[in-house]
Amino acid sequence: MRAQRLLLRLHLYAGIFCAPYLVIFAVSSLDINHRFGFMQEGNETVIRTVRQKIPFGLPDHRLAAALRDTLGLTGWAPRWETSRAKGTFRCKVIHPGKEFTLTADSAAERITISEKRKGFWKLFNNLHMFGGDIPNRSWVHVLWGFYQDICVVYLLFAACSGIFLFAKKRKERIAGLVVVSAFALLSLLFMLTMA
Amino acid sequence: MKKNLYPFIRVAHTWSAFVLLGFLLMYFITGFMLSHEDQLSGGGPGAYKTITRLHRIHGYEGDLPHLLYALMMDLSSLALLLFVVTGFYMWLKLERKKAYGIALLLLACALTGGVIWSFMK
Repeated sequence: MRAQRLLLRLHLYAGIFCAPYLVIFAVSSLDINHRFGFMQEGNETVIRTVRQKIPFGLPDHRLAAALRDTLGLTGWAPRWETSRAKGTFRCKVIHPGKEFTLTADSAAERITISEKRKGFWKLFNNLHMFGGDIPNRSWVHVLWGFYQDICVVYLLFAACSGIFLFAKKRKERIAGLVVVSAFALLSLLFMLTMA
Repeated sequence: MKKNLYPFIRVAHTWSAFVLLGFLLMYFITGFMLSHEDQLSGGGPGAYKTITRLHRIHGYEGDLPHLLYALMMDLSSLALLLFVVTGFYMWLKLERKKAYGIALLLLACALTGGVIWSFMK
């Protein structure tokens, strides 16, 4: 009985800890399916210029990473978002909340940074896919990665402990088992059909 | 009123969990595999492609299995919201001392808020 009480408490408290991520997961999944207008990417843009020596001799992807690091930006610099033309180099640095377009002028030793803000809801939904692994990350991003993993483990634990608690107390064991089996079978069928 | 509401909430929590069990677990497991791609690439590119595809199917387009899949995705998302809200209500009713629960919730909200702030600033 004491063990059951402990299990119930663990089930409840771990659930409370994971609640914010589960809400993000649910809301962003609905948006992925429906593309709600108010949740779409914003286009507020801020432009600034920085004087900086540019290591123009580097290959494109390394130059993009060097510019990002020099400017102290957090984000991915995709290889396919780089280009060169007449003494200028252009690349993008992207993270869940912003998209930076960097234009480096080698002659003027100047970098123009165009910062596009995606808006709160887009950022909120992008956290669904953000696992905490991002270049120039801070400690809060590392913690987020662990938090996300804890939430996955919790869901598995909640499933097992929930079934155990249900089977111990409830009368509708067979009905519950039928529903879980039906959904699991449907899920398996989908996986096999789609794969 | 309070006495009548708890059993109803408990049933809603249990049944929303059943809906989640069958479908959302697949999302969490494939999502976990996607976010640990480097460590779990032993299955080869074919297996990884399948997992990615399964995890990213969305929208009400395509043939019947795709439409049903999208419907299941909506159902699971709503069930997850219901699961969280009813779970929170049950914790409020079951536990007399609320300090630990509030502390855990604040910690998780602070972490989420911190990540949001780090990307907005």
